[in-house]
Amino acid sequence: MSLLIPAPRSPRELLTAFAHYDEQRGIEGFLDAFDFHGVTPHQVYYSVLGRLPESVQAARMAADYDARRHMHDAIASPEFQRNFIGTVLHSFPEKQRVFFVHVPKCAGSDLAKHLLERYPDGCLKQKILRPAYVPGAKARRQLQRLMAKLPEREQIVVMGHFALDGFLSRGLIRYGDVAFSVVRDPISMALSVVNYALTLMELEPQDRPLVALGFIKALNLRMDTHGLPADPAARKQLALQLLHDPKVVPANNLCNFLGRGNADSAFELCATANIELTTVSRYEAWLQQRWGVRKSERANASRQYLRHEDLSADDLAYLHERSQEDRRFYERIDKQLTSSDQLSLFGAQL
Amino acid sequence: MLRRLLRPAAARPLPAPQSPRELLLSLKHYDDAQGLDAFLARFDFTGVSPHQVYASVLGRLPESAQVAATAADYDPRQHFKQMLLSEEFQSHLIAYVLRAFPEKKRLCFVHVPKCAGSDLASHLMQRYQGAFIGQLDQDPLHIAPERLPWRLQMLVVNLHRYDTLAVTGHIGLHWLLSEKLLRFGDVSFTVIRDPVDMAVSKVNYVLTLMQRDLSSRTPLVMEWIRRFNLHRYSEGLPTDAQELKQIALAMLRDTKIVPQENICSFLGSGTARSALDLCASANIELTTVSRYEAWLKARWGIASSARVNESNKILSRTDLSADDLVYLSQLRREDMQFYQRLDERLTATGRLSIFGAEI
Repeated sequence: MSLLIPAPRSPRELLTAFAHYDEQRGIEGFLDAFDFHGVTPHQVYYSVLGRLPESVQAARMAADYDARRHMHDAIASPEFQRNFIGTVLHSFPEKQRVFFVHVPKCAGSDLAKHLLERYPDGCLKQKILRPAYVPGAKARRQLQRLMAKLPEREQIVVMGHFALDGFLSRGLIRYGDVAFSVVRDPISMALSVVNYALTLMELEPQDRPLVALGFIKALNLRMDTHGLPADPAARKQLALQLLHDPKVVPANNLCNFLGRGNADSAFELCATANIELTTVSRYEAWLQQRWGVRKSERANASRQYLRHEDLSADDLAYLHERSQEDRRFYERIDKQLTSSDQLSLFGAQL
Repeated sequence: MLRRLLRPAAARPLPAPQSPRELLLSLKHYDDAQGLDAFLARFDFTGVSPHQVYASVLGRLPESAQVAATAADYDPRQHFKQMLLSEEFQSHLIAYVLRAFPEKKRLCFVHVPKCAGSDLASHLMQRYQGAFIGQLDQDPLHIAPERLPWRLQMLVVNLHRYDTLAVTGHIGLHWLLSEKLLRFGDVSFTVIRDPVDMAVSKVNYVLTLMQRDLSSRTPLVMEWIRRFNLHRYSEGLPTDAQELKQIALAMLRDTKIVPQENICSFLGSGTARSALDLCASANIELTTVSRYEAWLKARWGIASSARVNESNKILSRTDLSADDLVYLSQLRREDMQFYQRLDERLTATGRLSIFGAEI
């Protein structure tokens, strides 16, 4: 006779139990371990979603209420997945939090790869929040691995294309936690994103990651379009078309990720979080000094379809116009790092 | 020689607190006779940054680059003191204390004004002497910021004896929920009343306080005189009963004294619908003033109650004209709707209280 354990009463209890989640048996198998006698909608809402029910309708216990069914649906819900990271962090306040704000096209994939090696099954990636990228079953598997290792870890690593403001406004970054980011010259960032888009589009349709869909949409191409034009002039034309598409190259993206769209807000938020900042040009030296990683073969590096010298005066003027705030932010960091001869600085020093 | 050996060694400096919990627990070393400066002198502030001071005293990170930067002449001890005496520290005290001790179950009493709440609060204070924090602790008119370290010391030296932290005051249920201060397993309750009786009680309360001689008026009453524009009565009220009743009836229609919705503002966001939803969400226990004494006995084992904070009966419901009643029922339409639903449900079940999810 197997003994049932009391159904979880808090997100921490639920997540701790997730260490025993068996992918083969799924949510049903997971729930077999619990005694649901006397469990109310309030208990299910709180333990799975970390909140209380939002209305009379959701709170009321119908005569035919089935707590197990309710918990099953709550665990399978997009809300549970959407809040994975916040729920894990809030549930284990004793763990130090390590945040990597990955500004797109700033050597972030490479740094993420090193972090994943250093903290195997100890990282929460932003993609886990998006069922389109990580389906529920896969997300639960990742959660199981994280929870199985968590007792022996002192830190939880969070990484991805998050805006710093999102962490700060939800009180997720606390004094004593660690946050860092890598930034880059805004023109190089723009070129890099275009080259990345073209690199993905050159892949066979079945090999393209989901992110390629956005780039393909920007060019009004079909997802099943094969490869890129062979003619260099046509390729360059395609590249320039992407460069001028605000969905592909958003304005002031550094300041979008580290602030609220402008340099002043980025200075403020970086100071508040006291985030450590370095630049792509200092990245390898910083990687060695900060993380002891001697050599980095850049993960996610793209082919160089478009180079600085390919840009016309008009292209440059366009990019300058759209990256004024980013340039102000980047130049201040770069100048300060140059004058102090350091590889990184902290937000409160800016 | 022996005396010298027995003399306590000079207290070693304590590490400066890094979190609200550390700060609150360190208050056990506070000596009220010596004050805040002597308390802060016990800490080693070497290397303490503005971030650490913000995090430990205000429970948050600095809001801007200007306050986050460590100036060359930065004095963390002075900063710490300044933050401890700040309006922000005091005005966020309830949330600050609750979050610092997440392992304690929370017992939250939402005190809707003029619904026997002062009486219930006094019983809770007696029961949870060392584990009690109230909205009044957040009010500098009630407790001066300089007295807060002493007040918090009273809390933390006793806290280990309790597995529950009691919270009372005119705090909105919406606030408790939106700040995520109420969790599954915590307990909340409130007492409500017929909205017309509440309005009459409020007027009687204000007049009772105004009837006190000038020397015994608290800063809170003086603040009411200012806020409710009662300066013309600041030297005292007429003694003639009829004249007093006329003043009371005029006050009844002053929306600064008798505001529009009151129950639904404390238990919801102003409407009966929102109050029903929030009460269900919190699963708050509700009773009415008419059932209060029986509930007090059944729920808390308190047999009799000589009501605390009871006012003089200057105005009674029978003094109200039909016009007054129509005015109040319109003014408090949402409250009326909420109260009637609760009262009907309690009458139908014969119970003394009901939970939010059952309404």
